[in-house]
Amino acid sequence: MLLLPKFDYEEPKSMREALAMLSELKGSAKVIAGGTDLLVNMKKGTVRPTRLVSLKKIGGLREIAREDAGLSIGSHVTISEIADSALVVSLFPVLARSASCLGSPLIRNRATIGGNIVTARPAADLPPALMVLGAEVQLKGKGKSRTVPLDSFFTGPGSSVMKAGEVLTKISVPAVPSFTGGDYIKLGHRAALEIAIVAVASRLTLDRPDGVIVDARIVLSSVAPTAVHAPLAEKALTGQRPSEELFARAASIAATECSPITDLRGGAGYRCDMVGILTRRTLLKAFHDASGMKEGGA
Amino acid sequence: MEIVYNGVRENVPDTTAVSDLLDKANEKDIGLIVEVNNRFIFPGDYGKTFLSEGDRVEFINPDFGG
Repeated sequence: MLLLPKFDYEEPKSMREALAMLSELKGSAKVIAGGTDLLVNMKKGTVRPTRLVSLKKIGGLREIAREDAGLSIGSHVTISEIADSALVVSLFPVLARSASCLGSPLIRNRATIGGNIVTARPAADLPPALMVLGAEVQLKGKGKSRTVPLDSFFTGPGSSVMKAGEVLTKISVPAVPSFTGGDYIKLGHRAALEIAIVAVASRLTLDRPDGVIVDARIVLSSVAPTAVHAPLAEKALTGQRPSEELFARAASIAATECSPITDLRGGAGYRCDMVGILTRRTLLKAFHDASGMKEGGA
Repeated sequence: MEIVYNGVRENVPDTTAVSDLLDKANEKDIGLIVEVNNRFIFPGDYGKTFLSEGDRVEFINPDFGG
């Protein structure tokens, strides 16, 4: 039986107290949110913190709130809360869709948006959707705070720009322009509980319902050390009139903009092919939603 | 002997253990879950869990969330 090792547990009552605690404990402590990743890794002995710091008694971290015309999502909001939030579903359906693909209902009830970001797994479900939405994360350390676009947050598998002692407190998702649509598709062997073989999030903005594409974003997941944009495919779409042929061409370009590995779940060639197929499908859905929409809502 | 490995029939030597399959797959995911005939195999038992004809082996890369 896999048992948790011994550790101390802290529940600071304010962010100030938590940051001071993390600063003092340096690398020996870890923040615990949902714990769905951390506790498993502690059982397996791959991480060995001597102290866990829970932020659940600190207010504001479990709120989804309007921020300007977009949303502010606290880092401790669970994946289920995001998938089921009327605000998220109406403003950012692509984010709700990605949340509903994560793990299983039990995991979604525990795991948090902050945890899904800071673990920096290349196959994590929420980052691709958040990246096409232009999300930023707020990082707080002792005596300082900074905001980082999610596009430049990840530095490799399991690593990010976060420094020791910093805590991710909030995710800001800006409003999307009118005539914007998006989609997220995850391809896996199983319907639940397994990470993606390939996943793609796309977002298109039109100048008017029957107009040209003024902004295109495509993010590929599980096919590189981090989730990555497909900049050449995005460029090929921008300024063009939408058509199935255009989307097929952009999808072919996107398939050349990834660097997947070959493993048990799929070969590199297969993954590149699937990037093309999922990109085309997500673009078609994004276009369908954008052209049928009077207000933004990716 | 023939086993069913992630849904695909595959021939392996008679004295194949789960650890041999892991080596062959070059699997690096520290979160990997292994099942043989729907039973969870503890990582410490990979080397002593030998497979039999017709066994159904699943390697699952779990999506733990965060």
